Amino acid sequence: MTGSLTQQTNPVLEQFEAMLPEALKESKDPAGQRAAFDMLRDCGLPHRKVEAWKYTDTSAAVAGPFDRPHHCAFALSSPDSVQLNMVETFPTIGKNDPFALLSRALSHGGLELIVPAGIVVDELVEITMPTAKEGELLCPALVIRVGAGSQVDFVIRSENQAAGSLVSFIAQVTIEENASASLTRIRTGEGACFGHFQTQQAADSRLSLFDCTVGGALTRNDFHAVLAGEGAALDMNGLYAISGREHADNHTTIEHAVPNTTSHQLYKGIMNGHACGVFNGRIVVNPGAKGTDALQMNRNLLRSRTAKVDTKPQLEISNDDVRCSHGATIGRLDEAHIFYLQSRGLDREAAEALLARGFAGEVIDLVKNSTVRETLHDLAEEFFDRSEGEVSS
Amino acid sequence: MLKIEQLHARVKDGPEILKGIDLEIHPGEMHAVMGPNGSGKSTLSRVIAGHPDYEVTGGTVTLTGPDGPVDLLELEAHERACAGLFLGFQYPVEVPGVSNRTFLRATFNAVRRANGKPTLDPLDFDMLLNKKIEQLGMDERFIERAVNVDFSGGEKKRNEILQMALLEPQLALLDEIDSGLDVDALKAVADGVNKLRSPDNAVVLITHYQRLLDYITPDHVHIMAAGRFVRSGGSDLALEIEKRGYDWILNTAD
Repeated sequence: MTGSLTQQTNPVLEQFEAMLPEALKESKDPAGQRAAFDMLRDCGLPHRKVEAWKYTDTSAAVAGPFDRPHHCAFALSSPDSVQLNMVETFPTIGKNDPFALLSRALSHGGLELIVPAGIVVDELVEITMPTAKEGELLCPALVIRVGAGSQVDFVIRSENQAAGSLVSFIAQVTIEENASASLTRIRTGEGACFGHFQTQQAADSRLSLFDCTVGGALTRNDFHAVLAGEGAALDMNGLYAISGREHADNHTTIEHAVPNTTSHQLYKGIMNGHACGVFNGRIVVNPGAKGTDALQMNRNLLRSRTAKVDTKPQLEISNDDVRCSHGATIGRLDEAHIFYLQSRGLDREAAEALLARGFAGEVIDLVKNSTVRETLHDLAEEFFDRSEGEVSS
Repeated sequence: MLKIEQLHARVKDGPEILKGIDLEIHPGEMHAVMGPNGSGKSTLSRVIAGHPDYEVTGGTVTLTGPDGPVDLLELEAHERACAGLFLGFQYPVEVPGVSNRTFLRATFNAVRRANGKPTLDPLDFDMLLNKKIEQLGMDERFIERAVNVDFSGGEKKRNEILQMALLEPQLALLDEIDSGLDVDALKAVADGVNKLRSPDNAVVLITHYQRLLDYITPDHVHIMAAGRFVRSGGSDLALEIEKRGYDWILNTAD
């Protein structure tokens, strides 16, 4: 995971450093932010010789120049049973996560949502992330804690971001014992968006994550999910649907830290035009984590000759007595499927359109909350409508 | 209604499979095409339906509908469907992520549109669909499920019959609609086919075994071997095959 982390004198880094004094002035934790920037300087901004950034060139996206507004605002729809605070304790960021370090160093502060123990929140909690205008850099943070035995569904919307903007955010999700939560994150809009997610689950908790990226010039989604208590179960599903020259990079790590935990992962990608997708999924089974049950699958649909995807599922298993499987596919629509639909009267274009919608629909249908599911179906529909012209057989 | 003359076809860049088929089908008729494995029966149905793996090397296939004769071989697969042809698949394809209802309505409206008839909105279509489901004695729950995904063998074949009921083709080619079915499922499928018969349409059953014909009585039976029809007759011919096997015909054919 390490690259050539040489000290750089880098105009981009200098630009960010120039924003630091202003960011520290508003800060309740200037030492923490300064430390994060020092780590960023050590780590350097990523380049493609660093393994974790091999397929994603961020140089154009971070070149700027950027303006860092003083404030940024979340929008929220949540019932009174969910407590809201400003974030005071930020998640710890590792030394090799440059954009998370950047977000931490130049932080705009953040929103904390706490669901107290033993509560069933029957209303969908919707969090709209701050929206960046053209030329803006935003570094928000989000902390979510779901108390023991509680149930709640979250949607995090990263929408309406302008072209030529840069957003790098940190999100930390903690699920206590026997709690059950779902969290769907929707990334649409333009510009460059870096999302750094950490999730941690206690014993017998259940978490259903769904990460949906539709469009966006450059998207990088980093998830690090830790199953830290026995009996914890995680569903981590995702859809990335991109066209034009859009780029979406999904790096996920699922860490089975203790015995008898379960993870199921299905990520699907649809690439049109000259779009480029990346999936890098690690499943890590720690020493002693017996009885781990982990399934990982990544499926990719290329809808033009110029679209591409790089996929790399990885298993790192440190003991026996586990059930782990993983796989990845890259392909075009199946001719046998197309013929079946043609034989029912659909022309080739209509047959392909229906099959591609089905490809996306299969993973969207894993979302249990019907409101969220419909939203995702609508997003997929918009994507297909606007990108149909980029399809080539 | 359908006239096939000296049809020759091969797998693209492969050996010839159909070596001169002649067949004429009139409205209201039920035909059965029987033959051992590898005789070319499934290929015949796929070639008529326009499967892209095959290439026609000679002959004609003409479908005569209300608007006059159409040269099927000139049409794309979907145009043949819109012209009134239906192919029931031996192995219906699973389409994950697309609900059976969405699929059925898309195909129904595509065929309607091609024939200059008004399309149905979801509500009107549901009413029609429910009527067809009731007519065929099917379980309405599987309308919500993804097309053919996790369907049993019997459900897949009944779904083919449901599609046929909705699209109301002039000519249905049913390719081994009986394969992989237990007796109850076989009866249900056969019952569906019988209900959909009318004086205006025609059906071709393609089958290896006679047992389907216990429930559907064909007017004409054709025995196929090595890419040709080697004998044609009435429904008695199927019984003869059941008793004596294909070898009897193959050894006596000219």
